[in-house]
Amino acid sequence: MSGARLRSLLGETAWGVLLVTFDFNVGTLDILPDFLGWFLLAHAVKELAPELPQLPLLYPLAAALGAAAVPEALLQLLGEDLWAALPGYLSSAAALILAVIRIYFFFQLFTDLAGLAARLQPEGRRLDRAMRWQRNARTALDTLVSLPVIYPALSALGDHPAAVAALIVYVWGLLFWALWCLLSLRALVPGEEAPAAPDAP
Amino acid sequence: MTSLWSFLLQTLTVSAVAALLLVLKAIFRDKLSPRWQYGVWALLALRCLLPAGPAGQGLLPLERWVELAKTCVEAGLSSAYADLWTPVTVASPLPWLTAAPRSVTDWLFAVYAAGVVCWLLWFLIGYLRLRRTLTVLPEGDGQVERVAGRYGLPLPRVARAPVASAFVCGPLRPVLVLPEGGEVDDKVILHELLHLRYGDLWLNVLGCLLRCLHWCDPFLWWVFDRVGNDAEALCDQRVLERLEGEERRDYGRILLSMADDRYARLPGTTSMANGGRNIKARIQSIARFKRYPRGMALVSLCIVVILIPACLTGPAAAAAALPAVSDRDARAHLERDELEDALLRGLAAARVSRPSTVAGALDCYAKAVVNNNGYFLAAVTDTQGQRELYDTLLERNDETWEWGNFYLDLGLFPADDPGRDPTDQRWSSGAMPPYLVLNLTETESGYDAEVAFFYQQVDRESRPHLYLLTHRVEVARGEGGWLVEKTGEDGPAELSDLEAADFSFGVRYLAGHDLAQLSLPEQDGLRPTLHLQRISLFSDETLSYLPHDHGGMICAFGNNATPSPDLDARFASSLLYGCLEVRCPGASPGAEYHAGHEFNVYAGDERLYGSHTSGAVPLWPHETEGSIVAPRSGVGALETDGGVLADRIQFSFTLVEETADGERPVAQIPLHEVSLDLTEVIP
Repeated sequence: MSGARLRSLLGETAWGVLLVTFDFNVGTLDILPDFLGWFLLAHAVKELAPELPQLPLLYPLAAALGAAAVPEALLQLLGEDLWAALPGYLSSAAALILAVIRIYFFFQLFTDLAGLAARLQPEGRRLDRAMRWQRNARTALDTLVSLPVIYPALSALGDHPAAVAALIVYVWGLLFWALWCLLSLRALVPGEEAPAAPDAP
Repeated sequence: MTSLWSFLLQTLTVSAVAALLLVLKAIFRDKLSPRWQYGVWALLALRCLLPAGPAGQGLLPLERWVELAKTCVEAGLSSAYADLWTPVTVASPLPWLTAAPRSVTDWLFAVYAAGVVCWLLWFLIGYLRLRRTLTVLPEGDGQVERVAGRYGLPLPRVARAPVASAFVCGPLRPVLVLPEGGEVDDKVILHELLHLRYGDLWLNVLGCLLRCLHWCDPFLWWVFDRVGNDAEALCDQRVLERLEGEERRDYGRILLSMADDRYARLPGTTSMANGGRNIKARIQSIARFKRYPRGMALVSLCIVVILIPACLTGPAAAAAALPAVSDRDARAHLERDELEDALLRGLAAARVSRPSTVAGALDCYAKAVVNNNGYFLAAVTDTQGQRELYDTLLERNDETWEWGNFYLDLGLFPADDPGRDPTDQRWSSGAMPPYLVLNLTETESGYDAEVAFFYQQVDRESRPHLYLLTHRVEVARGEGGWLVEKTGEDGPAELSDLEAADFSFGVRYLAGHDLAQLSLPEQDGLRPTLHLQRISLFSDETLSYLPHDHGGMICAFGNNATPSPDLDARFASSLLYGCLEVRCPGASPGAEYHAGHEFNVYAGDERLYGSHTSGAVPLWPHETEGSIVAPRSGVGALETDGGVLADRIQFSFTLVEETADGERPVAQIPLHEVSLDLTEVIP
């Protein structure tokens, strides 16, 4: 795979992570829609196969998360909540399945990208370690954050100011950490070989 | 399990968990390690061993479905094992006959229990027969000793038998059975020794016991087969982790050679051969064999953490919905027997839809009252009360047959208008009447509270009237949720025009419903008293308390966003507020009085509430012997949102009598400050 193509796909991955992690709503319109992020990630993991042969295993997971995010976004546009519209047990089961898929997706994505970083980084640079730390932190915190979504009885925890502060740190901190890792990895990708200069007459 | 219904609830609960795990295992089939694939079944084993129901609502509303099925079937039976009015519960995952069977469902359960015993005997006899045919080699087997020594594994006793493939049996005194006269590959012995090393024989015994308990659930038998296959796949993984290069390929070839072999599953035995299709899956697994990185343990664990509550207790959101008021239309054309069935089913749904919180119970009770809905009331009524409720509801519906409505006259319906259709929209505002939860206090058995209902009705001359009705209730835990019992009521009382005008701005003061009173020093013949009341605010967003800048007034109340109760409602906060009442003993009965006042409430330097009337305000016509009461002299918050209580108040009061010659000041309290210690007077 050419360096330019690899850099483009890593940029796509960074955009995908940004879109699925962060929401910015104008009224009922989310101008950073999750489904777009998942489809970008799905495309990126499929196309990165020549560099990371295991990564396409994540493609169906990203596609499923993207497909679930489409009706959610459409109903949000109409001022409705998809999960409230479903029967309680169905929404809980769906939320549970989507939560575990999401947790695994990011874990494996950053595991594989850390492997790529280990191959590309110069000696002494520890970007792969940083990516694995980021991966571990994201996995643990995603689990904690998912529990109240799946089990509303735990949602009272969200009323606590410390929980709100932790959530803000979680969203922003992990987002910046993940983007820094991805952009650093992108910067490690070697550029195209410059064409040889014509011999002097 | 003491009835057919408790068995159904148990086996369906286990099946639901198994289905969820199968879905997740299908998603992560080629992504998570065989250790996770096998280990996650521990959740199913725990679910099998825990009784369904008490730990939570379950993954699906199975309690509701089973209760409905039981109600439909048992209505015409007199079973010894099941009571129509007692919700289905599972006290133990083991079956137990408590009496001689009497009905069809009793006999079915007896057959089930006998089946469990038969299957246990079947497995036991099969195992004993197998053990009897085995002759342990006293001298042991050199090859087995060599393999066990090479890999540091425990050395079992060895037997030779006319079998096609090696296996181990006997969890207590394990025996490795090798085929007679044939060569056995080291890797096959390694596989079986690893079963011994990791205690798979005991897990196999557990699996057989669970098969016996769920012998008539074919889905679970298929699932238990899958568990066995995952155990073999994990053992393959462990073997491969101990082999290198060409040996791994040899192992795959050995598996392939076993594709046509199959052994019946017996308790306490394992066999490497488990059928052609499973062998194929295991070979595919070997083809993608990799040593999963240590980091995978984190994500594997996190997924299990998320699954634990779902599998063992169930998400709280699975609470079943109560029959809605709109069901009335559907019932309007039912025959009598159909109506009785519908009523029984509705009450069955109510029995398994108990409120999970105190707020949910009070919301359910209040909405039962404002909707005259017997189902809502049933959800907070104990089993004995439900029997009486059934008779009452049937009786009431005999009287109002044409409306087909299971309605109860719970106090709000106007007693002087008997000819009115009770299913009509009664609230002239078009909205459900709001209610308040007042003075919620903890007691030894639960909570005491008052529920106050405000409603407006229009008389035949189209004049609006505002009424107030209060119910005193006890809230206590019971029968899987919170139950509410009414202990008394006041009203309904029509509010005066002045009171009505005051209430139109929000809740100001409910005379006669105090949490506590605080007498203040008498001045100029005036006797001020501070009345304290507490309102519990629901988490519903329609509720709000306006802060001091906006008048310090409770401007909306009641968890009344929807007509259906929120069984998991929570109280977001509580608000203590006070009313400064001034009694004027020397007042003349019949005379008209006005009053002016200033009333400020402080917590430290923060002013929680302040009001000032520069002009004279007409007093409520509350008259007692030789005195008049001025309850509007100040009503305000005595507590911040954060729970900080007021520590002092500042007030003044001027009483003015209106005479034919004009206004005449009668008595006056100048502006002064009084310190408070509310913690001493609040229960």
